[in-house]
Amino acid sequence: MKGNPISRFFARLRFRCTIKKDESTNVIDSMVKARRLYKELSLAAHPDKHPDRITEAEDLMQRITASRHNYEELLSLKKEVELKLR
Amino acid sequence: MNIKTLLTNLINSLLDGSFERMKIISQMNAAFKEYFTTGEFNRLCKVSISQGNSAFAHEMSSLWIRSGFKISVENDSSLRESEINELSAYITDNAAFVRQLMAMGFDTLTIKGKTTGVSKSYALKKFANLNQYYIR
Repeated sequence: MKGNPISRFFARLRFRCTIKKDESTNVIDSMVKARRLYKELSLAAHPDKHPDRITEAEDLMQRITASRHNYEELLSLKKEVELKLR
Repeated sequence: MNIKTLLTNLINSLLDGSFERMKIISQMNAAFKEYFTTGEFNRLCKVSISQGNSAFAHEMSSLWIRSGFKISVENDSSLRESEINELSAYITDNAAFVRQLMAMGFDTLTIKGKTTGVSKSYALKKFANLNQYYIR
């Protein structure tokens, strides 16, 4: 890496700010909160509740079931459910 | 190999990745404690380094005495095996975290009740979807 030590230090600091947060936090959030969110989403996106948009609901339901142990993925699916099915 | 090189290699293998490991373990312990004290999670879990199972070793494993990633459930009365399986699923279903653990030299995930001794161990390499990249 080029530059003087101070600019290298700030470059490293900027890099640390941009990298994704640690996956361990997501694992513990999942242990604590994923079950409740999974139940909420599986009720909201159940294909029986959306007979007019059944293919979208089935696709979302499959993805919700596959991500039932991952809180971050469930959170992004929640936004999708709100956009597509409400 | 002379004695100096041997000692250097030994120290390197003992300290390799230690700071990264300690960081992740202390982060997880702090989060478990927080969720327990706020009442969001009814089990108090503690994460530590333990000995691993040599049958679960892979190319990135560190020494067997420190290749285990242990989650100990402190208040473990009425802890059932199904609950252990469920806790483990949150780790084993997250391939990114499994790979992160493997890159830090862990090969065994152990979930254990502190007093009851109910315990289960899992080979991390089974859950990383890296089968074709392993020699052993």
